[in-house]
Amino acid sequence: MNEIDLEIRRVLETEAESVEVPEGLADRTLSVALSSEPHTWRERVRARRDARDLPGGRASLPAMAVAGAAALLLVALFAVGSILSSGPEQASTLSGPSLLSGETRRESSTTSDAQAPDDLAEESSGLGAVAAPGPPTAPELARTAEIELKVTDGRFERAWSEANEIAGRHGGFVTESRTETSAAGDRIGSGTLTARVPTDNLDAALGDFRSLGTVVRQSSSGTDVSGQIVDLDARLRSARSQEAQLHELMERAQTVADVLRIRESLDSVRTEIERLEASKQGVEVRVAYATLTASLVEDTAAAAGGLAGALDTAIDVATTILRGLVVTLGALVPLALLGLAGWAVLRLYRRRRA
Amino acid sequence: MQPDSPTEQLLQRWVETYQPVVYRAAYLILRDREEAEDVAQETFIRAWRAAGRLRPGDEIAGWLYRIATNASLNRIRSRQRELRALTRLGSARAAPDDPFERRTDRSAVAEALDRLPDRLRVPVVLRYYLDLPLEEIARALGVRPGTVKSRLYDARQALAGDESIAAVAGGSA
Repeated sequence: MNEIDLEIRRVLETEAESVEVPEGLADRTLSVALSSEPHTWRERVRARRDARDLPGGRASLPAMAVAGAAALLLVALFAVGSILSSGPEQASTLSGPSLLSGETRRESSTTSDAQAPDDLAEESSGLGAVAAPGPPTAPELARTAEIELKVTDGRFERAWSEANEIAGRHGGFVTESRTETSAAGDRIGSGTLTARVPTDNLDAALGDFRSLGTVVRQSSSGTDVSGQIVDLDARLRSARSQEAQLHELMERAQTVADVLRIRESLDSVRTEIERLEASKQGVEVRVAYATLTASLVEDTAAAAGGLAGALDTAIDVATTILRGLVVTLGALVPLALLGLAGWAVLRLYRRRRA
Repeated sequence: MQPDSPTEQLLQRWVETYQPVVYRAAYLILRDREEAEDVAQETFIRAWRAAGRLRPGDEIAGWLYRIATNASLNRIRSRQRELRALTRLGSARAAPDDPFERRTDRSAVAEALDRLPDRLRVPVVLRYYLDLPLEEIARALGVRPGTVKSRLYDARQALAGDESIAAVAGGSA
């Protein structure tokens, strides 16, 4: 190893040693690790991937082949299912409460647990029984939902107005609302709004939206943020404990230099506490208020087929003809006046000659 | 929370033994104390979740360092995605100004190491701070050992070409 290598190593070690490990990091880590289990399918996949990364832990070729074949089969089944379930019938099946499709990711992860008891047995056999988790607590879910509706032609504005009131009726509020004019350019033809609704009222709000038109698409999902909250709580406890200790140190400080140094640390810890509190509040708001996105589109294609549509079209045509007549007459009036004036002049001229 | 079972005590030993090293290595890679702390936590949480498949004699340190490297690389990728998105929106801003990083007594070599791109700095930290062999670094980064060797060479060239390094190391490459 030459001098450059030695210098790089020296610098890295010096830099590393100058960095103090945050106080309480080990306790926080143990607290979170021992109190949480992987809940989402992503965490489970990651745990399996990390386990495969153990020395000698790579999956054997036959196992990999089986896993690959299983994955291909799942993809094929998913594709067939998507093809079979697409089409107009989907609108009617979406209206039932059974198809809150992402509701929730936790349900699907529970299903995969039941189907893979071998993994659980294998995981517990390595180091003896893994310590049983504490009493199960309800997960904290941040829910989101999307719904897309087609509204009968001519009724969009009323439906849109009502859509903007649904969130308020259920204790929520609209955060964003935008509209676009129709293809004809003469009125509003589509709109999208985003609202925050108390999570407990999300299903009721979605029901109100469904009554505004024909459901084209609906989905919802929940993200488990329990781990984030536990982690933020642990960090807050540690930071507050550190703040209390610093206050005690401040009481015993002897010199101005000590006071200034402790003051600087206190400011830093206080900033950290406020940041963590804000983060925790943000997560709690996400849990308390679900995010709902609703899109409404006027169904102009359906207008031609119905009686109401035919009547609307007839009125439109009659209006157009009337407007045309008024324009034509308006254009003819000056000409008529001119003609009348000319005729009057000619008659006067003839009478004088006679 | 005090660990009860032998397995929990084992986790506690892992944390006490390896977490300081993991934290410092993550800091050297990410240059951000908060993210280094996240990596230091995430590493052991993930290790704990995958620990059921451990066998006696398995080498723990390298495995933990691989998890830590993966967690650090995920954060680097997140940063890059965020920067690209902010650049597209026209609101890219400088990296957060961590007052802890503005020490004035850092060496020129340390500053030069900071200037290395992530692609080169990560293998440098794994090689020179964690003392991982090339094969382990390759496995952690998901590339071939030849690629690791090439990046380490490029990093040393970049540092050797830096005037401050050349002055410190007597100008040898």
